[in-house]
Amino acid sequence: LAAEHSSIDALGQFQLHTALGPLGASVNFTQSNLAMVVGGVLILGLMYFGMKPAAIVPGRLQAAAELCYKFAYDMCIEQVGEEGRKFFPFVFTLFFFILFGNLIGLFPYSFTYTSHIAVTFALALAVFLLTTGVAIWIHGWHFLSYFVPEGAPKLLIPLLVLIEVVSYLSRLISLPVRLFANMMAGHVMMEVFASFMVMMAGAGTVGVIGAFFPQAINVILIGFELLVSALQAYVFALLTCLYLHDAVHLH
Amino acid sequence: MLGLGLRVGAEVIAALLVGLAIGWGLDRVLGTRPIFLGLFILIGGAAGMLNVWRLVAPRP
Repeated sequence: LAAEHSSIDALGQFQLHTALGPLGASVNFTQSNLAMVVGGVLILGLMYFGMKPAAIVPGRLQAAAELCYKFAYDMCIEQVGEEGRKFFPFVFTLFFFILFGNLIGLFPYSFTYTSHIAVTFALALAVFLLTTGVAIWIHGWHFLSYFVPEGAPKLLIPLLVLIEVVSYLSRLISLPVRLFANMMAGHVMMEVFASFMVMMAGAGTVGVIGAFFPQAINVILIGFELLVSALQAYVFALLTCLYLHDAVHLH
Repeated sequence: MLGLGLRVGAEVIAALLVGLAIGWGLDRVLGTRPIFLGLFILIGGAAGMLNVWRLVAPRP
């Protein structure tokens, strides 16, 4: 551990290594992939076993599954409009893949796959391609009018179009960076305070008492991370819905 | 509040990065460094402001 070198190795936790022994090593199956599979299986399990009884008065698991379904469904309809029904499966998958990724990462010995920009960027790229594709599918060449603000002076239009295009492309950066930065910052903070704790505990009786302070901060941080996990998954799904709304309605 | 602050920061930096990338790429292709780089960094900053305005503007 970090304390042995009395330095803080806060980024080592994000290093990938292969999981599942020699089988995983032969196909480069990392612990990040394993966490993704676990997340996917948990969502499928929640939906399958939750909805299996199909009782009129739902039990606890069924109530949870129904709440999850309804939450994503309402978000789609509210933000996109009636057309949002078509995009519900995509938004549902996206939201729960990110949410479970964030939450799984809070367990010890686990891994937060949303703390890698490669993963969040791939998700954002899927969103970006989908929204652009939908806009072109529905509006054809008229889609380009999205980049021309209404009521702008003719002289300024070339400049404004450039600004709008850059603003449109910046979604591709801001969407993944927000999620990845939030998740990574939280886990780095927890690692740093945990290292403080171990280092202080190694410094005799006074240190052991002092070590309770970073421990207390970490307890608070875990609660904070639970909030951030849910919030960032929500923000990602919400922005996806807003972009879909733009794509469907072009303002 | 902290969430909003982070979102504003991400929006500005993302737009700047996109402007930087486009300008740098154009200069590389056309061999005109630093004309497009300067131009698109300014446009990227403007796009960042536009993003922030869209974020905080009251929705009609």
